[in-house]
Amino acid sequence: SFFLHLNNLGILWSERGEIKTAQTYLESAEALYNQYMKENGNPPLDPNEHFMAEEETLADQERSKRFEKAYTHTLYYLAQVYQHLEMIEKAAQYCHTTLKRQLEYSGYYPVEWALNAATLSQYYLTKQCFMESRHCLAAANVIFSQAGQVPSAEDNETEQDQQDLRQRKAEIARCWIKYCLTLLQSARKSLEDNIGELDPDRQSELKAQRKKEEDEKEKGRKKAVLFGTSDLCDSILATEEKVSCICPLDFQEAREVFLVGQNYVHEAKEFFQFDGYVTDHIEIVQDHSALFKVLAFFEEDYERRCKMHKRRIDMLEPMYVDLNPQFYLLISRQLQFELADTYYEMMDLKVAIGNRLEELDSHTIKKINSLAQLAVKYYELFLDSLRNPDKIFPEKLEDDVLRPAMVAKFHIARLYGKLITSDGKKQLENMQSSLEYYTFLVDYCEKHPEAVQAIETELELSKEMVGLLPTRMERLKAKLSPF
Amino acid sequence: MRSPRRRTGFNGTILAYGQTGTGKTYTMQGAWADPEKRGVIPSSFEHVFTHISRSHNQQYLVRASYLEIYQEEIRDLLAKDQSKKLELKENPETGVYIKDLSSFVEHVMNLGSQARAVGSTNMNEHSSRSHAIFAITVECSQAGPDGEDHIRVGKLNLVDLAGSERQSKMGGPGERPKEASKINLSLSALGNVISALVDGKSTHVPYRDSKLTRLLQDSLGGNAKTLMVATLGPASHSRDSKLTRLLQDSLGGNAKTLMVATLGPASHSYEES
Repeated sequence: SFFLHLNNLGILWSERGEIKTAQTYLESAEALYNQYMKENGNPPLDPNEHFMAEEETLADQERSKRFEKAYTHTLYYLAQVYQHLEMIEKAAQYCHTTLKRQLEYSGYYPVEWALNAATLSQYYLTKQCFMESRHCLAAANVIFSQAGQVPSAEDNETEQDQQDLRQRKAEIARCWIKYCLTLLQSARKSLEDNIGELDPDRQSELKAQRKKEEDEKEKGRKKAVLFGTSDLCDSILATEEKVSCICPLDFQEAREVFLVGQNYVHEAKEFFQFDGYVTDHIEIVQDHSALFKVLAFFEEDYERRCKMHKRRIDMLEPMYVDLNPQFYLLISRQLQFELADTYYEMMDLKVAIGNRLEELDSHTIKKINSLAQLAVKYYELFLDSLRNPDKIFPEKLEDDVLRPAMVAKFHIARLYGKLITSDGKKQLENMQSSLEYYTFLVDYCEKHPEAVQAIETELELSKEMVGLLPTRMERLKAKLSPF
Repeated sequence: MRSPRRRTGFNGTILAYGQTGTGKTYTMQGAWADPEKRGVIPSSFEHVFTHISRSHNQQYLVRASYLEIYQEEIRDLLAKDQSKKLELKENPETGVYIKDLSSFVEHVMNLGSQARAVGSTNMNEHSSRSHAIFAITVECSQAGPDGEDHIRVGKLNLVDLAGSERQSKMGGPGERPKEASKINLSLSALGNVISALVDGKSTHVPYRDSKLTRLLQDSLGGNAKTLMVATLGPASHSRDSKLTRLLQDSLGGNAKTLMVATLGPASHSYEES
């Protein structure tokens, strides 16, 4: 039939590199299908049938099956064409429809289908389309569970097959972790003020807005391309109901999403154990840490927030200690920086808690100093990792490490300024160290003006401190040496 | 329990990159017996053993392994059972490794090359589609001033990459297949199409890293030294710097490239870039 010819022409032109021509043919095929189904409802004769004797012509069902399969391929080819033309949104849409049709018309391998749906969910995450993302993931769960049920033709499922199955399940779990994390981070973005704290006004605003949008959401859902026949639909829906797809607006809601993410962390770690899958394991734990970090944003109580950050330290530090930086340089650096940042955050919280008290007790002071020193330790380790084999700090920093290195220097400077001591001499030493690090930033940006845009805010503050600190130090020196 | 003696050392990688028939394997292996025509691999061995013979108060352990990656499956070219597929794993202390990969000291080269020929009907076809990695690990143990043994480990990866004309399909280290605008007919490639749509850091795409990339990741950056030998045939687009740059980018710009022009009538130029 004409339809199949259009398909084939599309393929032919793509092989010749004429992708736009291919697109035309395939879109014609698509239009033809739609028109035909609208007008006729019955599939046309399969081309081979023209040459068959009457008894041999295909039963309606078989004919329909072949026709639908050809159309599925049309959509699949179009998805590729759109991808080459960089029309990503359309490509995704056609991939989605292809997946849907695989469930309804063509055959499919459950594990493969599930992995593809989980991968597509990640695309939707990049577009903040949480409803579609959740739908793909829920479908992935449901279809994947079919794999276990269908008995294999030869019942010699090897150890390897079982292992592969467990690995793929863990991969899907990782996609879920990203879903929860992205949802929470998106919520944070919409709720935070200009210093990164939860803005209560925005919160009330968004909550009110949400009530209005609930109707819109329902309409949107009906229009969306949903997977599955009716019984599949129910299972998918049941899975979807376990986690929200709308941005959480307070701690309770955030915590629910967090807990779902945490469950998937445990599931993924069961397969991706540290010894054997170092990189994968660490990525999962980094996600877990990120989940805690974003949950802390929603927590109002500072002490409880601190405890969440402590959980992060507890999960990251042991891994870092066991890693050989010779083989895991990049990950090692990431962990150093994250540990430093977390200790820094904890210190800031302890200071804030301390400020609410009438007087800082020695226990709190000790805690603040200890946290500050640990943060410095890890920032220094990070900076050391940038040295060349001869232990010299690079004259010029590479683009990908420029900002983190500068932030590390800046934070160290600030941390020395935060250390609390009653010993005047020690105070002077700390101020001197602080000054050195602020000066480094200012000097570097003078020598390398292109670096300025990477650290504008920090540079401004550093310049201020470079101006102020010497005077303060002079005053302190004068106080300390009585004559 | 963590070992108190952390291993230090270096990593080095030599990659032979180029289209099929331009002399990658010749560069890497050469004619083993002929000193004039020895390739990089036997020469490296010679270099290592010469160095060892000149050392004092040091104990050495030299191990070599030879593996092949074909269609994302790993095969031990030195093993008796050639049908067994090996797994890629990671250890926190020693990095990426292949589970159950065998290693030998001598007579490796011939065994491995024979294994590569056997098991495929068309040797050229097979070797042009697979990557072969010959790895030499040298462990040097020396008593330090504190009386403790200090171990230094050096690893040299000698990689004979699949023919570069196949790079786009094989998924070369880190690069996306931008050249191929050919439509894939089989629905089994739907996963690849979907994976290519995802371009974000806050996502997880199953199977995005090729086995080759993961195996070489600790040799492709940071404090590793990498040398890429790009072979050009007379028929290939010589000075195809775009290809080299693509590979260089994925190597993080740390690689030194040696362009080697092979046996064309007029070209015996060696460019270092």
